[in-house]
Amino acid sequence: MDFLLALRLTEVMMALALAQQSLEQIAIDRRDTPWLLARLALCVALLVGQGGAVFGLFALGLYALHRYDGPFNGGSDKMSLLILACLSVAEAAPTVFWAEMAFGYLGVQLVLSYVISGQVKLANPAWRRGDALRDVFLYSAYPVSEDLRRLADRRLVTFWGGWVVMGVEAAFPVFLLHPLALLAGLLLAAAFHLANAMLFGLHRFFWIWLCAYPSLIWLQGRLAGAWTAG
Amino acid sequence: MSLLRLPSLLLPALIPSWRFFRAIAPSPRVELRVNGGPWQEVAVAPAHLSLGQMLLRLIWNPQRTAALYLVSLSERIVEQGSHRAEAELLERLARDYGREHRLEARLTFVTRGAAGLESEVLYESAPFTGGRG
Repeated sequence: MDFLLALRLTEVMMALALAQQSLEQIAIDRRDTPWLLARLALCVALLVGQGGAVFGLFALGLYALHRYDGPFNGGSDKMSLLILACLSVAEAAPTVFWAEMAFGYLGVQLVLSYVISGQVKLANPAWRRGDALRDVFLYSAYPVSEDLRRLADRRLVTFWGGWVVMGVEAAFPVFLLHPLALLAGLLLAAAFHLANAMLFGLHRFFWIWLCAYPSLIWLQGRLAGAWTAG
Repeated sequence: MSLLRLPSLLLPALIPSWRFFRAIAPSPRVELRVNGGPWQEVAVAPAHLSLGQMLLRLIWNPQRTAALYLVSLSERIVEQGSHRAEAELLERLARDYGREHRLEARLTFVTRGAAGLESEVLYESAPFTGGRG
């Protein structure tokens, strides 16, 4: 994927994802409407091609961190800020090289988000035994409905489901070996995020992780091209 | 909160640890008592959601997002002793569950013990009303 196309695709997806977050946040915190409306306006600007809007969106991301004394929605807010930081650096970069470095950093972090997450699970005996996923369904605050807690007794879900998640996450760099393999890996990862969104209500994670995918598709092609040329 | 704290909040976003679900910790339930009545859990998940409802909630689910924030605040109160999180939690409870009442809140943490699920109250507020926060 061409660098400028990947960058633009990320901007469009981020504009839509942050607009969704802003509208939801207005419904949650009506007194925060002014700055959330400003964020919506910046999303519209980014959507129609005003790349400089990422600076404002990043600044409002910092304000939100201050406002809520940390992320409001955990890792999804952190990923939002990371993407906005990378887009901001890419926008301000004096040369294409530095813009690519910033965007490449996002791709690397996306890979790390899977690999590290998989490794820490693999290192935990509770995950290897299937107990961890069982506990998520059994007593964590995450299941979106009470009847989902019954899945805690399904060994197929808690043991094999856990191993599929750990395997795909920890082995994610393997998908970088070929563009089609990467497509398959990203589809698998997106399905994982979709399941988390539907079963655990982590829908903001789903949309925001998808926003980082163009950076990795571009990075894989860039690295493969450099390898072939070298 | 001092703006000086902002860098320490931003850094984990720029250099994330990505250690999602490393271990399944005891899970908080926020419980509320109105005018000295019985304790009742707030933001309780529905008994069942259809596939259509789950799909719709991919694009619009403010209640769920707000409920997850209560979980975050509960963890910050118990793990970090955050007074800011405590004030935020009580203010939200007063806003959402009745400013005109005398309220008390507590955080019960659920975990799996040798004999099944166990719960322990790790925080209990003083009585408060909507005037707080």
